[in-house]
Amino acid sequence: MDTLPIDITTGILSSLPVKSILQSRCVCKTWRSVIDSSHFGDIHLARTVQGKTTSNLIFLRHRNSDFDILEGYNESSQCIINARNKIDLLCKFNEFAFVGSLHGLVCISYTRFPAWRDHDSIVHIYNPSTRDSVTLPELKPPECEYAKLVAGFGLDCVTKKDKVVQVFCPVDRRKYVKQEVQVYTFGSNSWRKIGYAPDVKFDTSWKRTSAFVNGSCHWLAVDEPKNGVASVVIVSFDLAREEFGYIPSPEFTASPLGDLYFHISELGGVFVQ
Amino acid sequence: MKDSFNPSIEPPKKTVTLVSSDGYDFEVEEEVALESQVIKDGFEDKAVDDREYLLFNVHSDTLELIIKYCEKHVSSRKSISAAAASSSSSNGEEALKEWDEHFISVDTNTLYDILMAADYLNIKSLLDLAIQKVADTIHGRSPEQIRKKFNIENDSIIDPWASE
Repeated sequence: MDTLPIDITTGILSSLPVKSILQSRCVCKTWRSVIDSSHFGDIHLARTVQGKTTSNLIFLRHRNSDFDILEGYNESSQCIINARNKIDLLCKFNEFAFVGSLHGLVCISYTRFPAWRDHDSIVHIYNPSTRDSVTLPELKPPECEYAKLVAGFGLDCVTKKDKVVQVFCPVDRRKYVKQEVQVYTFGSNSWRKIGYAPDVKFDTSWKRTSAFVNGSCHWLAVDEPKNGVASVVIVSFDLAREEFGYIPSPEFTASPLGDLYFHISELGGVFVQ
Repeated sequence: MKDSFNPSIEPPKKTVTLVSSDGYDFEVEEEVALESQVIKDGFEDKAVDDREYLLFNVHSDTLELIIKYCEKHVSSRKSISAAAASSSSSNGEEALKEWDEHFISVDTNTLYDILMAADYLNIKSLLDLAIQKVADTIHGRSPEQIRKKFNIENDSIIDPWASE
């Protein structure tokens, strides 16, 4: 079996549930290199989504600072992977956010700047299939003193490279209103400052989400014109052109600042609000 | 009621010849051979009297199994669609699944040969079946058991001198 063509070996190994994949890494060098190859996560995810395997991953969140990944291959062999052990979420009381997931990778970010503790302003990319995690380099110090971070994770459709984008939302908007934006391109190993986000109030609560659809990251924000009525908007960021844009939000009968909670997410390539 | 389909006046079935790597001829019906995407792709360009395929990579033992698989799938497809057309209930797909399961329950060497042949001839459903069989065999086994089962040499012991 170790003399099979790589395509077949990839097909076999990507049909396995995560736990077996991890064990199979130790079988021989060929298998290890197949599993460690950059596109293996994509293939595994595609097979999982197609339903070729019954393996699936469910993220369970405990409070703000901990999460598990529940994997089910079939009813008899469920296993819980405690990702916390692997990613080493050192600051138990930190807020962290699921920035997004893309071809089998999960992006997790902490929310404060400057760092109150050593591990406060960090972005992790986690691969549940291999249980590897990568910690991105530290963010460059922004212009404002205190900020909450709003992040997005997606694919640059032109260069085919993954990107993470961080918007620094100043805590005190009276003192500082410009919202600096930094982008990390995979393979570059550093953050680039690319300018400022539009002057809207991003949702910075821990429940916030971003959605990656059609080559752009999207966030919920509130537009607060000086003499107008505040309204909920969807801010988009095109990862290839690195430009911001707006999508008009659907109209809701209740006030946008009232009791309704808004949430956006991606569902099979389309938007849900 | 008129029925345009009448098996008794069907023309004689066209056949093609598949030649195994060890030189045996297998005469099979055209539609059975066309289960292979590789044969299908070049089929129209080949002259009608020259429908012979030399399969250098497939031994007669394996080719026999492959033909058996393709014949079964062609005939099952027909009976399933016939049952659907007459809207009579059929458990054809379920039965075919069971047949597949039985078909692929072979020893490791044969499974390896089927994998290679299905890949070479590009028969997707058979390749998927064989891949899933190997995956099911791997699932739940330790690395050592996997190596033993599939005759894989252990080359992944970390060499303490490798980093120096």
